[in-house]
Amino acid sequence: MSGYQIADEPAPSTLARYAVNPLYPMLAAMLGGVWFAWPWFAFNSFAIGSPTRRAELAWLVAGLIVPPAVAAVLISAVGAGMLPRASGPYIGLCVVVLKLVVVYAVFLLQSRTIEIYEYYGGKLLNGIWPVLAALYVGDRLVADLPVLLFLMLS
Amino acid sequence: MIGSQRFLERAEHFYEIGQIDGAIDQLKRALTEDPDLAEAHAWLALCLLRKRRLHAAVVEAGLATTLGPELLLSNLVAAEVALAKRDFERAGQHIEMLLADAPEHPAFHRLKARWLTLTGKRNERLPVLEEARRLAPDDPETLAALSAHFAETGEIARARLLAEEALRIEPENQSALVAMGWALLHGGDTAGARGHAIDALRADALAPDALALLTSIKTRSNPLLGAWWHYATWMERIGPTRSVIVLLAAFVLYRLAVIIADQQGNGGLASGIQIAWLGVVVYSFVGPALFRKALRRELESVELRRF
Repeated sequence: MSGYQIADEPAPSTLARYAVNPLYPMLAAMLGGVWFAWPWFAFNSFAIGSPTRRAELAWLVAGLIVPPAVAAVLISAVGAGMLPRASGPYIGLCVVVLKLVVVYAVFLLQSRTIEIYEYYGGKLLNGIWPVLAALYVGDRLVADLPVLLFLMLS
Repeated sequence: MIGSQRFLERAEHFYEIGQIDGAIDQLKRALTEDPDLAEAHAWLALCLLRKRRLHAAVVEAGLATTLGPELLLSNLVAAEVALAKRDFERAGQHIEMLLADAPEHPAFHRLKARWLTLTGKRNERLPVLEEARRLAPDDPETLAALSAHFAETGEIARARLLAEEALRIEPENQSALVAMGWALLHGGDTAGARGHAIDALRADALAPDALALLTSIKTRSNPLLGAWWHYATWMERIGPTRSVIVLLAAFVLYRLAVIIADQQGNGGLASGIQIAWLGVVVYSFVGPALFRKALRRELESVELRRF
């Protein structure tokens, strides 16, 4: 991949040998939680030298802040009687959807780069074992945290 | 400099014969030697568009227009990129510039016809295409575009004659194969149409026009299978970002339905919705692979029948 570099081509670092298909961090987010998947997304991005890594990081940071902030506002609205008590499941859905938007956005950005990385002969690790570990640990590590931190990391 | 020109010529050859990866490789070599070669940036943008790498194509098109604003190719690429981004106003401006600079070029008139189609001005298309034909009567791309126009307006005999003429001039021309396929399909010859669609898909298995033709053929023979083909080709056409938005919307609807069913004490319905959603999830993983397998089988079945 030396010579002229097209804008969407990756610049792999020495850590690239630990890179995985972004499908695995996406599955880890769904099965294990954000606390495990998002650092993994970020690592993957830097390992393959993704040209969109700034955008990916921005999505991940926004994904840490926005869903719990939205949840906090909605929970306060329920507390103040502005929303009915039965809106709990809808607030939960709102948080899940916001997190899914972030997961899919980062997945799509990384997928394009990974395709090109593989086209030029880049090798990827099988990420199924970390996914299974994330599934096994699940939310247990973050379950005892305060509500907002739990919403942020679960 | 001489080396970069040689790479550029090779890239153009690779592009003409449909080997886009080879063309990209040659263009990268050309640009390694001379990063300011506007023509190479423009060709690279065209290649990246063919590979559906829109973001990179936009960057290369920008470099081409900055480094060589006077080049026709730079304007052509800018118009193509704008069309791909569905920025029709900008595309129209570039097309008008192209036609003002080189009105003798039939490709620019065809591009205008395509722009008119995409902007919903189909009834203004015919004089533009006829002008392209006047400039180059034996150009198979123009003949195919005219054929497609007549197939759309229901003048099937005329469409077929034009497609036949285009294929006589260039039997492998993808646009002409698709145009002939549409003419045959409208004339009721499904098998003939299918053969032409498959031939067109051989150069690019996901060529949108050829896929649209094959999908219509499938719908004629089996409406249920046709509906699946329509859905699968639509998902291919809208690209991964919009597909994900569709799936996210489906997820929200699913969760809302479950919450409402639970709140109304209808646990059975909620379970049914969850099982249906599981099916959607499984399909979203295996669906694209199944579709590509079905497409490959189509390509192979026609190949085998010929030998």
